[in-house]
Amino acid sequence: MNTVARLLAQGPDALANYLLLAGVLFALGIFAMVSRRNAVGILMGVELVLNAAGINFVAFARFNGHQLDGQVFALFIIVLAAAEAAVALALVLAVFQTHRSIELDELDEMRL
Amino acid sequence: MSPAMLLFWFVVIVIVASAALVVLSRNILHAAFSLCLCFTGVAGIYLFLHADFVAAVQLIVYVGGILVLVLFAVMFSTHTQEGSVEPRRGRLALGAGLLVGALAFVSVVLLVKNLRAPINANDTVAQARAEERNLARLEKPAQGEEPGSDEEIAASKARLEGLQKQSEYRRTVGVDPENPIAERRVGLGHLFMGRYILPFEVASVLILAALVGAVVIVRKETRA
Amino acid sequence: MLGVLDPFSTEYAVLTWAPAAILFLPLLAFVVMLFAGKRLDKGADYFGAQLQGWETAQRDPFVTSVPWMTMGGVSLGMGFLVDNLSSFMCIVVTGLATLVLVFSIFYMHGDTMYRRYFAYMCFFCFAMLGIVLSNNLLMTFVFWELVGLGSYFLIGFWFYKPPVSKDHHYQELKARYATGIDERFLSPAYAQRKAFVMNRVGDFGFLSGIMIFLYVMLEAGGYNNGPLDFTNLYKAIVDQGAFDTVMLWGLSGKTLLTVAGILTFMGAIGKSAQFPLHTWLPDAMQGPTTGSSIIHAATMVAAGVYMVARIHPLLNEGSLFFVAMIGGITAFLAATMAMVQWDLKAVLAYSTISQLGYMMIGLGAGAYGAGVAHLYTHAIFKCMLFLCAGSVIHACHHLQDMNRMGGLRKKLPVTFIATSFGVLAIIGFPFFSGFYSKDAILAGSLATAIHHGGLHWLPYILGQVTAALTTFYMCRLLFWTFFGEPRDRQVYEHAHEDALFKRVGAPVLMILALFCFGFWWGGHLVGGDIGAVPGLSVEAKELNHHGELEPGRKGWVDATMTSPVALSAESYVAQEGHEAAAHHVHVHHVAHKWATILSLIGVALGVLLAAMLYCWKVLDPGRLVRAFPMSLGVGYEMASQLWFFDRLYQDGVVPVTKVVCRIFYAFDFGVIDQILVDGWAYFVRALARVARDIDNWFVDRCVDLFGWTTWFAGAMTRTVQAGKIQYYVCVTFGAVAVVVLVLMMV
Repeated sequence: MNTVARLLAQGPDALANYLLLAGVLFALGIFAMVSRRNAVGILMGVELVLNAAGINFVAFARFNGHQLDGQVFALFIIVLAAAEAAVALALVLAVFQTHRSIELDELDEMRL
Repeated sequence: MSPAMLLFWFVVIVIVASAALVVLSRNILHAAFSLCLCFTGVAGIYLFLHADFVAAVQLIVYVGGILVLVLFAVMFSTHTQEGSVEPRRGRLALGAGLLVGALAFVSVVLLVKNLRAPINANDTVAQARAEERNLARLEKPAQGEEPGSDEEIAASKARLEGLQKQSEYRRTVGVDPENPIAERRVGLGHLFMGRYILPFEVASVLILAALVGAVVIVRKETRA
Repeated sequence: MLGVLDPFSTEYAVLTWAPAAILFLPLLAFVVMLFAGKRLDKGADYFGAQLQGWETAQRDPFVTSVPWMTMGGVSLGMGFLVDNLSSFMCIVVTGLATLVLVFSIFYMHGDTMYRRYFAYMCFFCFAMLGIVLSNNLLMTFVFWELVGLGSYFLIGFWFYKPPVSKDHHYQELKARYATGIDERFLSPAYAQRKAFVMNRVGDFGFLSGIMIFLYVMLEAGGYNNGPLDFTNLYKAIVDQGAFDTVMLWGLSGKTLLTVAGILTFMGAIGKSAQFPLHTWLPDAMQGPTTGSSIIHAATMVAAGVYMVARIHPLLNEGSLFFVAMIGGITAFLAATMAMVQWDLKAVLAYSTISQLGYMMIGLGAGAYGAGVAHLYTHAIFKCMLFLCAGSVIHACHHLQDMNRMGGLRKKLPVTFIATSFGVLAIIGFPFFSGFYSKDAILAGSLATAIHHGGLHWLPYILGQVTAALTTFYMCRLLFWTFFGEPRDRQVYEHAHEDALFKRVGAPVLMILALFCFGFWWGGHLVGGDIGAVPGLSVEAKELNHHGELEPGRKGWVDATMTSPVALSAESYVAQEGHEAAAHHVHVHHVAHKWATILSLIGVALGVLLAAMLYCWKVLDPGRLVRAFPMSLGVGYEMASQLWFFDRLYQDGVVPVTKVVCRIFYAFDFGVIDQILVDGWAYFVRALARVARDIDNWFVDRCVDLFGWTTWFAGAMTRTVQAGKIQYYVCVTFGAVAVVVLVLMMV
């Protein structure tokens, strides 16, 4: 409890707060990826996970001597996320055009 | 509680809540809108981390770009009014998701708890200030304290000089909260155009490929 | 020997790229014609090429080469050797090709395979220029075969024609008396095969000669980079005497060099239709006449002569004598055969063989420059004569029989003028080109004969007699075709020079006729070459008033080329003494005088006889032959039977070859096929049975086991990778989390 109180009091000045926030986002993202049925929903989970990673990068950089490299990586992550989202959503649309559905459970043609 | 502190925890709560809504909402449209809120909150977190440029990009790309894409995808991929409502998830999926998510969270917490390295080990500005204090103490000790020996003073001066040099260097290439925002951004630009030029160019090619790929995938087959 | 050039200078670039451009432009044209099939103006290409030919002429010899293949330490190249010989030949080839192609627009007009004809011609030009420009023997051989292919294409151009014995159209139009053609088999397809096979015989020797040269060059050492390059060959064999130290098959030095020279010359025997491989050339006249004019009269058949000129420094006294003898025999035999032909093209074909023999006499008897000059002069006038023949044949609707012509000079005035110029040139009438080259050949061979005596007289005598015979049969052709009364009114009435001829044919003939005047260029080619005796040739020198040797007028042809063989006058004087040198020069002057006088007498006699027989008709050839049955009668019979060469080959060599083939076939079938191959097959089959059982009962079961295992494993695990993304995510992150947790616990 002592630790929690200290973290609460430190607020934006504690690295651990950022990391824990990122951890929450990460866990939620994974939960979405695993449990969602909708392909777009899964994609949203992925975006959450990527955001968590971005926060981690920037936070570590900030608390490691105010370096800039972490921000650079966060920017790269955003770029990747954009590209990934474009392709993934295109795939979703393509799948929808052929199957009239984006429920992953119904897409089982590859199964034996 | 300072206003900054209050704002920080408010942003955190908004992020967590909206992310939870993203995950849990069965209406995919609601999920998309709360994802928007979540991204905005993350941009706020970046501001707290002195990463204003990243925050701006986060807003522009995520909120302005990716989210619009997601919304389009949602709109295009629903046949009916209720189509955007997801069926209830299976018990197995729910259980597995909870398990894995919880495991992930627990491991993150454990990792954070076990962070051993002094996090501000490289914060040369802070170190330099600490060294200044140390030097002052050695040279002009407070009441009831021994002044430091000559060797100690000399060593401390040498350390201080080195740290000042390093922080000077950081001021030119890195983030120093004492520097104006403009200069920080200049530092970011130097990094992109310098050390990270290759990944930068690769990323541009990647985006091009992704754009072309997306067009190719979605395009309707016109061949007979 | 080579001029030193700055490799970055424009001149260097021109010298390097111009030959390549000359060589490849026709190839480009060939490819374009063959595939794009559009009618192009090839004239433009050729004029460009010709200009480049002039550009490269008049300089020091220039060599450039790229590596072609490297075997062990030996590197063989492909490259260009540009000196006076090759650049002048280039000009002749490209110039004549241009003119002939232009003429062909007229001659081939309306043919169903019009485009293919031009494509073949361009291909031929490419190959011919390859020979001309090549800088080594092997590349020469490669392009040698390619011209053979081009010739093959054009001889069999009308491949669909039936054998002439079954061709009623041909039977109607053919010459009535001796045709020089064995009609049993002859068709364009047969003729092209014959030409190819005859050339194979010669090329066998050529290749063997190349191999001997290669062997010797590698034995001599130091020439691993381009052992067959002409410049290296000259240096090694002429200057360093590479053959002196080498033994092969128990032959050494001089003998081996003679053998190598004769073998290489065999290539020329085949390609230049020399005795005894000359029988393919008359048959080759089955192709289009314009094609014949450039391939089977002007350039390709001269390739043999060109090649001999190229390797001339490598030929020693023995092989040169062989060359001269073959040339003499060929010249004489072919001239006699030409005398009795009634087919317009056949006369020209045998005349070509005869003239090629002349060139060989020239080369062999040491009149090197004269031989090469005759190659050039002959190329021009014979090409023109063939074009004239083409014009006559075209005008007479494919009639080739001179018996049904006559009096055509009024109907075909341009053709008549061109033909008469050509005839004057070939008979060696003063101031026409043939006069300069032929006289120089005869003078050279006479000088050799005087110097060496004995059998060396034979080439000269044959050449001198042939000069008279040439005059006779060429005048016969001229008189019988263009003079006198028309012998077939129908043919005569229809003969005319049409509009297309006037537009493209006549200018070509006029240009060529202009070049038949030798006095403005022939003399420059031949020059004052006094190096008439093989092995003793001397750079051109003249005796001045005081009997001292001074540099003489050099012909353009041998300005650079005799240097490898020729001794300098000073060293000659040093070797043989001043008296001998002066004597040598004296002999040459005497020879030149007498050769000229004798050949002019021969010309006069020939013209007179031909005019009496065929123009004024004061003598009847038939009666003349009957009056002297033992001399003229037998000669006539022999000549009209082509000295039985075709018979010999067709009824002698071919059946014998067939019998040999049968024997080989029997051996192949009985011993190799049945005992070796089949026996081995039985053995292998028995072995295979054993292997099959092993395979069935052991190997297959093992394979099945593996297959079954894999199948089972797949069945067990296939649900894992059925595209269930969420399953993957679950496993991945679950695994990572577990790893982290475990690490934290420890």
